Amino acid sequence: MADINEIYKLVQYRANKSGFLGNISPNDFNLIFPRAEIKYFNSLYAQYYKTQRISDALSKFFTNPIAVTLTGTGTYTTPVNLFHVDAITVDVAGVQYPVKRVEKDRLANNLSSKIEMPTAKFPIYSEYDDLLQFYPIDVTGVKLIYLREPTTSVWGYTLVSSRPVYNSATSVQPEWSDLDIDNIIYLALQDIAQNMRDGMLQQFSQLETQQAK
Amino acid sequence: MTYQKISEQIRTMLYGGIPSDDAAFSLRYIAELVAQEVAFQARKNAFENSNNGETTYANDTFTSTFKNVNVAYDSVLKQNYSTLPQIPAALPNNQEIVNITPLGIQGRRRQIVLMKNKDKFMQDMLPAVKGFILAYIEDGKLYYDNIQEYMFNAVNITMIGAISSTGDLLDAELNVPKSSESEIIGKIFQMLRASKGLPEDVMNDARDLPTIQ
Repeated sequence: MADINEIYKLVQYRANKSGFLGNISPNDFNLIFPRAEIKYFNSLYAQYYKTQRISDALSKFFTNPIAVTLTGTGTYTTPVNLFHVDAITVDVAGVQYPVKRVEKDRLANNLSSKIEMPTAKFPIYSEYDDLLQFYPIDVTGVKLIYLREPTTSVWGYTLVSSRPVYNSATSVQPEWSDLDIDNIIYLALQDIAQNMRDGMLQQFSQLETQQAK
Repeated sequence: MTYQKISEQIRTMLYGGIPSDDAAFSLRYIAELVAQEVAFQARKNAFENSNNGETTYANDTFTSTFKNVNVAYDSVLKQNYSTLPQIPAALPNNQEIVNITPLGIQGRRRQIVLMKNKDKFMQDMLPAVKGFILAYIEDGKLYYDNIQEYMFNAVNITMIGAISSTGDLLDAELNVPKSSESEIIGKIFQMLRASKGLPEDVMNDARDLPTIQ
């Protein structure tokens, strides 16, 4: 897997090879590359589970099943890095049953239903700002798998003779596989081209992004 | 075969495989439809037997016995009664109730004879026949008539076309002949498929159809 220093060099190289004559500063890179990562993450998320390729790319960001402990009112405060709830299950006598997501406008219908009322075997949940509300409120054995946000990559450096020198200790490495890094680099190059108003680089990065799809 | 298994079979056909957690039709909802169709099949089977020159008895596979059903006392009507644990199919001459056996009474008086509800008034005008316990159905209850000195606190009831247990419907045994299963599956699948294609109103805007496309 490529480290952030290699990626920074690659971005510089590809930008220069495509006619961009300027220098991409570490601050610009640290601003643009994480945005490209988020842009790429969002584009994959929009096609969630559509292909094996997308599932593979996102698989790094799925958590393992996490045991959920509810408060007395059936709530669970969501982890800060939660991006999307992928699956919630409940264990009843060793068998896993799905916990169904119910949107807020349908919640009362479920709670008052004679067929779809939440039970220990068929619980439901609704998602709020920073918590999940479960019904029945005393349900136990709940497990959560979620899609977390990618960490923000940083090219860390120290200034040596007023020049930035890569520092692995202060850097944050990207979590993506080599397969995805190229796509993220092209997205970053698009941003750089737009920012620098470089038509040639813009054309190159757009073409590469299209080909990557 | 349980109600869960046949409901899963129908749902798998409907969604072309294991459904996602967004599946609109739940197993519990499908199982309720199956239960209603079982009663219909019991009735149909009884009339098919009748066409073959037999009396209108449904195949024995449709029967289920509920044991130790409590006998309560209605202080207004001054009558003992049992609440029917499940509602059976409708067959001519109340044949959906196969037998009612009081617990704790030995010998020839062990069977309770079911009469039609409309015959009750005639029975009231006649002197009670000793040793002959009658019962009739009303409001989902089985009222006992002419109990006299025979005291019993519970009965076993065998019925046709009813759900086979009072617990979780999905866990109940599907008491239908194997030959009827495919017809049940086919009918419910068609019913659900017809409503599956209807557009869903996902907007909570007090209008039955979305106002924004």
